[in-house]
Amino acid sequence: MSDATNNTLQAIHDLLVADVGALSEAYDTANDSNLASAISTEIGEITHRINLLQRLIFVQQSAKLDGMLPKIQTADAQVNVAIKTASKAADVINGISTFLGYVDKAIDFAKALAPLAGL
Amino acid sequence: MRKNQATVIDETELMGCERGDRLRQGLVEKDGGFRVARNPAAHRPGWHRWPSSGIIWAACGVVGLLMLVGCVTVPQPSLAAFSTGLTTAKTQTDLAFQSVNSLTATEVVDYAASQPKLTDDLVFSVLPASSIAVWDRMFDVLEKYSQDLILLTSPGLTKDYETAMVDLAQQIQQTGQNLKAAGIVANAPSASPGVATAVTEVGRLLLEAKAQSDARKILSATDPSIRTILNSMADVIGGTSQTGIRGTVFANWTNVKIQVKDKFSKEMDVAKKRALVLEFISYQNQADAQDQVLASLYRSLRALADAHHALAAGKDLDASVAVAIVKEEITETRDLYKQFQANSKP
Repeated sequence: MSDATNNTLQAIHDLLVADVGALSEAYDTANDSNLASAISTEIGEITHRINLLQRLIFVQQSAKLDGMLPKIQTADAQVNVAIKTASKAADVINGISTFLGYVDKAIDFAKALAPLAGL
Repeated sequence: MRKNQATVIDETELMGCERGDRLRQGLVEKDGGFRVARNPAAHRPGWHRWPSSGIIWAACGVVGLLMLVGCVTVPQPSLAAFSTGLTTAKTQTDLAFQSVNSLTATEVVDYAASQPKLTDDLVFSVLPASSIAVWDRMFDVLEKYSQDLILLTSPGLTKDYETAMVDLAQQIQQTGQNLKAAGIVANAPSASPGVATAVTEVGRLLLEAKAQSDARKILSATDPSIRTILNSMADVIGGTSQTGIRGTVFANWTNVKIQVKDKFSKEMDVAKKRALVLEFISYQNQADAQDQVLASLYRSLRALADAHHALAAGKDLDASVAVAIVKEEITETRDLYKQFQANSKP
């Protein structure tokens, strides 16, 4: 982990990138067109968060932000299970929506810190 | 070698310590080179006249001391290559960041277009100008540092000092003549190019050793910080294709390719499907090239950190290897970037 970046945001960023990789693989094996379409949409949603996090990655460390990480990691583990086992579009969407809810809270908090980092 | 035959050695082959060694062994400089003689005294104008002169023995003693303490020099070519590596890494970074912003801008616009309402938050640069400016400032500081080190170990640094030492030699000579005139010393040194050369050489070697010693101390003292900076910059780029900025690029290209896959699965016309396959291949090539550009930049920054560490530790061979890696990566990055740009053309 880099000393130059916010470690928590970097960790969330890397989790999301891994999820995009897992979803891309799931897309190729999806038999249901609805499931494939849902995966495609979720990759777009996650990529948007990755871009936001990349922009914010240099914000200062924050204990409050660090405290958000465990919840996100737990939710991400559930997302990974959902990606591997889901056969319905709804399962993937629900799992990712919960996860992205936590991610968005962290991003919103980081945005408040961003002006301090000159972003 | 025949007796009394002199051998002229190209001065450029002799670095500071070796040069001093030659002088200590009784060699004299002539015509830009060192002349080795079987009878050194015959080739040292004036030296044979004061075999017990305190100045000469003191000069030889200082030179000998310098040989003992100053033989681990900071290799200027490696230092210069390190500096060039930093300058090129800065250019690499600017190009790489521009390409990242260009790629992600498309995704940012596409995402904003898919939303019911346009807000300020939806439109942004993934690598904002303020972040790029921080990187530029970081590189500027590192470049200035490396250029100062080059100046410190530059042969040109000794010129002023040499002039001062010639003045000092003349003063010594004048003092000797004054002493002689006063009848205090019977055989004080008269005006002698041998003495002037020896004293000047002592001055030059002293300053060179001081500069080398200073450079080494600076390199050692700053090494942990310089390595932290360069390795941190490398980590921001990403050690794998799914971490750091490389991870962001991976996700964006995956998103681009998924959209092509989506279109493909909904398309029934074979000709149009074929066009989508070609489009997909083009994106795949661009994604690979862009990741390789960033991977090369990552390796360059790591190699620069290793080069600095080797220079600080006095391991010239390791420094040369690391600097060679930087040069190789710079060439590769340039080629890959050209490839990436070529693929980007519609």
